[in-house]
Amino acid sequence: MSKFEPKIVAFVCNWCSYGGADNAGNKKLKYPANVKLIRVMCSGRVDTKLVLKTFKEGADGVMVLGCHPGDCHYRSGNLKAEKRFRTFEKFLEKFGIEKERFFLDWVSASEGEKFQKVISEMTDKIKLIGQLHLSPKTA
Amino acid sequence: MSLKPKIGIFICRCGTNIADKLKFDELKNQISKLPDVAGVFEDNFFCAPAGKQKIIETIKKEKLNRCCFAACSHRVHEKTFMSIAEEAGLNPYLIQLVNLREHITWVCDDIEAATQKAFVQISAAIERLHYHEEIIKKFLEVKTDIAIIGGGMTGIKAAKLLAQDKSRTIYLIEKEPTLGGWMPKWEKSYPTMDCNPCFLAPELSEIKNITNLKVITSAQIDEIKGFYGNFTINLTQKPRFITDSCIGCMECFSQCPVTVKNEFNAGMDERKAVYIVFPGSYPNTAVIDEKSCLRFKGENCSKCQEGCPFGAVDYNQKPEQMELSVGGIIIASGFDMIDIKEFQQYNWTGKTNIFTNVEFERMMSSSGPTQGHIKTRDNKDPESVAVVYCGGRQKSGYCSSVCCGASMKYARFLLGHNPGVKICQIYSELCLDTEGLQKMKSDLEKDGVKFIKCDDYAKIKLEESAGSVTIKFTQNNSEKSEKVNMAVVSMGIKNSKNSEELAKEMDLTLSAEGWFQKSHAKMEPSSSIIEGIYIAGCCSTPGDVQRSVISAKAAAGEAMSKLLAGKKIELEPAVATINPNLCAGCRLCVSVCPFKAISFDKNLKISVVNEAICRGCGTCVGACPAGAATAKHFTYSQIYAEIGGVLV
Repeated sequence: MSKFEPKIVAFVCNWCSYGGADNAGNKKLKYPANVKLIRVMCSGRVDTKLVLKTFKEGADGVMVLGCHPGDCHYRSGNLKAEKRFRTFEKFLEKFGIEKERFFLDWVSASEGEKFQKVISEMTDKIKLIGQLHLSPKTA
Repeated sequence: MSLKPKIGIFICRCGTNIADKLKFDELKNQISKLPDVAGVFEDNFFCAPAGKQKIIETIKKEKLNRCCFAACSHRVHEKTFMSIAEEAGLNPYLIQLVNLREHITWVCDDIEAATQKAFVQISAAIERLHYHEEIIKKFLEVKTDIAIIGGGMTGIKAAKLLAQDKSRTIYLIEKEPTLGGWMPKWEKSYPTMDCNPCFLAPELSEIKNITNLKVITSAQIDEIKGFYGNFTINLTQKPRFITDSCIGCMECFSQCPVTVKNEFNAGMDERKAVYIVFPGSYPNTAVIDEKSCLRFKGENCSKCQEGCPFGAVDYNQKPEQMELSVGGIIIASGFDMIDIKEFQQYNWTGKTNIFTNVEFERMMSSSGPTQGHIKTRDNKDPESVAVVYCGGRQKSGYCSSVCCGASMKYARFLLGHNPGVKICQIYSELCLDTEGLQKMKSDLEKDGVKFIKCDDYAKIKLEESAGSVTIKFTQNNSEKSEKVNMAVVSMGIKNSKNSEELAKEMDLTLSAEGWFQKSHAKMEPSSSIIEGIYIAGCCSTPGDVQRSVISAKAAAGEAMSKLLAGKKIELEPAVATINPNLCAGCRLCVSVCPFKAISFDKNLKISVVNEAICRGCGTCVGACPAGAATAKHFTYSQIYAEIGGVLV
């Protein structure tokens, strides 16, 4: 049996964390290919519906990466996301999803190293937790 | 757009940067089988002129109605590919870019994994493209009218310069009942000892004849929204209870039975409840102070109305709401004095012979509480005066740059008005960076003024007993003291409370010292961090009158050049919309919008997006519990399709 390769989706904001991924690319920093990116304009656009949908469609882990507090291109969208997901995390277990499968953090457009780190760590973490099997009820 | 999707995939080799880092031909073969893909096209550099031409020709020849560009970063070439699509006659929002280079080939050494990731991300783009819709670009002409917040000398000078262009309406907004700010309180300016009222009076009296300059006094800003070229300011003008018929004759004053402390004279004398802030003010009309007027306390007094020869008193005036539409805003919200009461070392009570600089300034004024005579609190001529420098600097942490010059001004004034007076200036550091200040100091020394350099301004202590003030300090680490009849503490300045409120309202940031953050401290000192909002005067950085006027003119020049008639700015096309049929009117979107772009329509009981203000972040969409809000180009169906695509 081949080893488990988790499917992870990261929502990245256009201005900071997408730029952080670019910065990692420009610096040729290597990281696992498990994480697929979905670009949104602001982390504030990402809501619980999108995250739950992502789990439902088969993701083993979901990340939301935005601008550092104070750096949001849209002033405060990232803070709205933070508020939303700090509450959301508490309810994840109720959906049969370990809370470690969700990850929210800030990556600036100059933090290629941080981008590499959070992607690598998330991949390792989900590899340890294993595949997500949602109960038919949740799905 | 109801045409069946006909998608072209343009996959860029980027030299070897993409093509050699994954199984290029295998990938091409895989993606050619994705739904509705009409063809896969490759080039070494799609961003180069030949590549661009190839795209345009292909779109036209193949009649493609959607395109996927599998190339490099959005940050590098999204705009390039959007404009190529446009050139080919395709709406620029009917394309999707996949970043193979920065996000895959440059970061993944495993060629199998890179190929698989590329396939997945392209599949997601193709899924997404099925849900793309045309978005039409919108342009808005900039408004050329300009608002200035703060009617001190800085605001006045900026307004008068801008108003020279008669095609513009300039709004000068002031929270107090009169223009002028701090400047009318200073009788003299250093180092020239010019008579301030002499040059202030014409500056103020000219205003009434400038027809395109609208002065709004007693104003309170309720809300500012919008962006460069298109701001809306909502404000409330508090009533004066005196109509424009008032000519400032002051007849009513003597009728008024109420006396209160006169804040214009630092509380050193009294005024009536109906008063004029200072003689020659603009507007030169009286105002009724609601807080102290008997009538507003429920008593039946109408003495000022009876005493007015012009029938100008109107107790029924109501606050007036105003909405201003402007293209730009200059903030000139001025400064506050650092409060001496916060510093025990100065022992200031307002009753002893320890004075603040503002109290001393008002005594210098011929219309002040002592009619231009420097007097101790028991109304005697002081024989000795000490001026203490750097008041409050121990807390503020910066040099206010204006107090050294002012402190020397007090010495020069005393020499002229109180013959024989002994003066000492107690300082630890001097800031003499204005033209003429060095000479002013050496002239004062020649005239007998003692400059005493102490070790530390933070450790100066003032004490009063039996009418004398003792100033204790250390000099070369030994205890020293000076005993005088009168001491003046030159308090520094800080950004005004209004500036802090404005910063909050407008999402501007303040520096560590509290001044408005500039767009660039050196290169763009007149621009705030938000385009279309300019900063001038002491709210930007502490400075004397000359520097404030320079910054006023700089900000005016900046605003004028950025707001030329006919100039058009492109609005964000991918804005949010709210479906009126789904909106429940909960207003969550109104509360989360970082740009105040959403308002609540009281009649329809739904939220409405102002597309000119919306920047398309989508935060309202994430917050809307009813699914009524949509972010164009980032709709649920588009993102769901992308999610489905990356998880194939």
